[in-house]
Amino acid sequence: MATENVNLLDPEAVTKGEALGLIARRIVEGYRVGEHRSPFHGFAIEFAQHREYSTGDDLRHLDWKVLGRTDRYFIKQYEQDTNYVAHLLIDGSESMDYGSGSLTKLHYAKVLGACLAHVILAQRDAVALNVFDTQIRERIARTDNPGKIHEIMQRLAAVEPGTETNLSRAVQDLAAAVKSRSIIIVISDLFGEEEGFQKGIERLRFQGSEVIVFHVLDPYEMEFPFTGTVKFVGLEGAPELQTTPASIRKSYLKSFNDFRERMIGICERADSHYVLANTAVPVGETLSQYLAFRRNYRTR
Amino acid sequence: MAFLSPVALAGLGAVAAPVAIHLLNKFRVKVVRWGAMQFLQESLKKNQRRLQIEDLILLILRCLIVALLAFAFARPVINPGGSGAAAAAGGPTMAVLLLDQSASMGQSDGVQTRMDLAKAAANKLLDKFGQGSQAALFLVTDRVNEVIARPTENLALVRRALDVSEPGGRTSDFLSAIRLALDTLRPFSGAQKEIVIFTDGQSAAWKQIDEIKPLLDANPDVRLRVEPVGGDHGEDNLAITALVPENMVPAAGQLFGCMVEVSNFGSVPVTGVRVTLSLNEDAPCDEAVIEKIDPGQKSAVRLNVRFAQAGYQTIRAAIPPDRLPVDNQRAFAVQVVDQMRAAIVEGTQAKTKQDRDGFFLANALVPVPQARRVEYYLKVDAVQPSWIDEADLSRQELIALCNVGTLSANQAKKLQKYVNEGGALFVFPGANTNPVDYNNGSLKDLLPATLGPLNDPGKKGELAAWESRGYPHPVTALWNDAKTGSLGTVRASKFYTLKPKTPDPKIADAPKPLTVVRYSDSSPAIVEWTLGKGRVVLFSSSATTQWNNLPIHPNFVPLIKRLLGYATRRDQQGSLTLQPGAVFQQTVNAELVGREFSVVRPDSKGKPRLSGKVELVNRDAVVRYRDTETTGPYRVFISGADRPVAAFAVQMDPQESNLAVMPAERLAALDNDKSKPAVAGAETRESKPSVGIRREFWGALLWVAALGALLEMLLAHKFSIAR
Repeated sequence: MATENVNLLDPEAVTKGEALGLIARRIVEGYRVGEHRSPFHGFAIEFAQHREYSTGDDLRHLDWKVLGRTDRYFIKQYEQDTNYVAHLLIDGSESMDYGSGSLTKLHYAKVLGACLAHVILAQRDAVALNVFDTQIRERIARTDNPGKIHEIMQRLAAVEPGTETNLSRAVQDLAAAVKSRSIIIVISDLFGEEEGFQKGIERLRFQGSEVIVFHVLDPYEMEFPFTGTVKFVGLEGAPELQTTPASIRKSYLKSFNDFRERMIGICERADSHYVLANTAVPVGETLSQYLAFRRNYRTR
Repeated sequence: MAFLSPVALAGLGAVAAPVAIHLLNKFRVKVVRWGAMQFLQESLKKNQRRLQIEDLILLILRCLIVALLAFAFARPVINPGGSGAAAAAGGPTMAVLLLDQSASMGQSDGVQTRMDLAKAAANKLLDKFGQGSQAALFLVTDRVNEVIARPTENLALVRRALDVSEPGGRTSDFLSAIRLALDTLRPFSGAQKEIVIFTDGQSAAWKQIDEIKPLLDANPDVRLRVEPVGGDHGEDNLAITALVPENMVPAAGQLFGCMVEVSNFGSVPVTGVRVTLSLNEDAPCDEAVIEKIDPGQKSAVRLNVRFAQAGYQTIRAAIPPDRLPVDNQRAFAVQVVDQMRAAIVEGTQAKTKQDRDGFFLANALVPVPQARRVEYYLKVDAVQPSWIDEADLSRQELIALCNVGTLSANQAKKLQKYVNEGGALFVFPGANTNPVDYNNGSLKDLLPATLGPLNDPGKKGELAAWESRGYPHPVTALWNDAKTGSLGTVRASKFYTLKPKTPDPKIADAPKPLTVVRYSDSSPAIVEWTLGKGRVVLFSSSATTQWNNLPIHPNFVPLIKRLLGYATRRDQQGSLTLQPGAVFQQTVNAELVGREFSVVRPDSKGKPRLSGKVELVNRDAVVRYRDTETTGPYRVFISGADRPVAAFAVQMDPQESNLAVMPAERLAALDNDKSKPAVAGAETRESKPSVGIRREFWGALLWVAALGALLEMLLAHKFSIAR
């Protein structure tokens, strides 16, 4: 079978929709072996909790059995009984075009997004795709039709790195567009204006949406292991810089780690999930680790 | 400030190395497309200035370390002009010590030899050297042995080399040694440069003293001093200045004569000098006493040995030891033969023995009664010319042509080959002689002289006489002494005028005819030359009494024996008598290749020393021995053999026995800067004020460089941590 031969992180394969779909399916199937419950069943028609009846409550939700046994009035509360919508917000800016190896962060983000879309559609939930740089430039409206998966893959695979990042605008545009409570999945290196990003996340949370941030980073960005003299050609139009990286490594790492700390802080304050997506780690591993975390999180 | 090794200043160029490495790194730029520029910009903005300063500090520090090292290796000195007194007060000196190693340095005062005194003086000089001084050591004979070729600060090494130095057997020549010392000192600058000569001042070593002064004038920065040891005048010395074997064939069972010459180099007559002759280092076998030798005179005695067996043997003459023992003995080596063969080719077939052309010659060659001829070493055969065609000539030691007429081309060719390969040929003319054939025919290239007109003074009742004195040739030199008789009574009634051939000037080793003896009118009577490895002796008259009275002359037998010895010995004497230090080389039996050989040396007290292996050189088995500095007899034995396979003797230059010294004033005049006190003068060192002392501070520079390197390491580490 042709799919057997597809390299899961082959940059060439990632740019072809069919191949991307196969990669995503393989990764997800690999994860779902022996699994029967989806970790995204957050809005299923399941009993949630009891609360005491108060004037004005709908008597249809009165728990008659509890009334019969205890002679007290309790209302049964349920989770939302409609399928959820997952909005994938994928960073397609030029800064995502960096990769210390042949695989760039954008490649990684595409595979991760494809996997997530595959998982969500497979459990009959809806997914919407948004690719942004300075603004959202690629959009697929929400769909819960599994038959649409091919289109999603094709569109995702065709994404090319754009120009500068404007994460805050993209998040805020999305917040404006999302009318109902949804799951917002941001896949980005988060290089951009931090304050706007924070406001966007907070707004989404305020609207009742759950936000998951996959922070895609290359190991060279996290370790800065360059030696000798290096001329850094800035992506997204930044000016060139020539320096001896060894002489500023410590300072760079401090700045970078501070930035990560701030991003983690923003997510925590907004009660959102921050997930580090190191491009040196296989996509399947990153995804399964997060999904496992999510299931445990829900069980608690 | 100056530098003792200014060449090392070229190392300052290495200062560019850190800069070059820095620039090289700048040029070797790797380009990376980078997204996280904001953090880079932030880091650079924060650190740019600090980084530049740190890099600059490290660069300067590294350049400084390299520069300090270059300066240290250049050995800077403060106040370089402070030579002389300053040097004496502790400044460095760059000296070449020339130690006379000639034989005369073995002269003893009863306690110490002159060499001991010279070594003590040299050590004392080294004691006075200031810090940083350097010295080289040359041992001087007629060649220069650069024991320590370049000045070294390791003065202990110089002392060790001095300790093991012993006088040799050669003479000295200081001119070439001084030239070499000047060349050695030329590259150095800054230090006080000196050549110090430790010598007994023997005149023979200073023959070229007048050529030394211009050399020193051309090198005014070098001071030359002579430190004479021993007395300021020559001491008395009695020496054997010559030991000459007589020109006879050394044969087993035969007496062999040697002439021993003893010279008195002293200032008073010497009487009763006992001269002994010993064979193979055994007890003396002959001796004589010279009654008196006047000052500056020499006297010769003739002593004999009898060889018991054939083979290589050594003969040593000795006189009682005096303060210079090395010249109280002298030795040579000979190869003693067991049997020899001679063929006398007669031109006519006479009916009676006495009328044969070779009768007298045969009797002269074997001068013993008929009964003893069997045991005599020389066997003589009388043959006809046709014998030459058939015989193996290489078996003959001597072939004599007596009154032989025209020889065929084949006969002449065989004779030519025979002589070239080492044979001896005597040619006596006679009635059958055809001068045209001798001069232009088959014998043309063989003879040392052409035959001129046939003189016949007998017709007029006159006779031509041989000269009676002044024989320069070694064969006839014996008769220069009236006690041994005279050849002046030899008369010839008929003889050819001999015209010695002129050597071809275009050929470097062309044979040169030598006249053995002349007639009283100076025309040659006997002429000989060396041709190839052999010798040809041409007589002007016959070997019979028909033309002259030589065959019945009392000196005919000794003359023939000496000629035989001379002609058959060839260059043996030259190869078996060496100068000290010369390499002995002797071809031996080819079967001995690879075998070990031992040498009984003059100083080994009769015990053989394992000395090497027989080598294969150009298909010949060769014994080669180099350690020949000691004078005296040497015998070479193949391991396990009783009889020597070779022998030789090392003889010192007789002029070394003359201990007359060069006047002290002339030697002192060589000091080209008497204004400067001698380094060796301790009193000078103490009395002079310590002004202008030269100090080297390369050590301090090295320390600073080391500290700099340490600091660089610490800073580099600290900066890298900070970044």
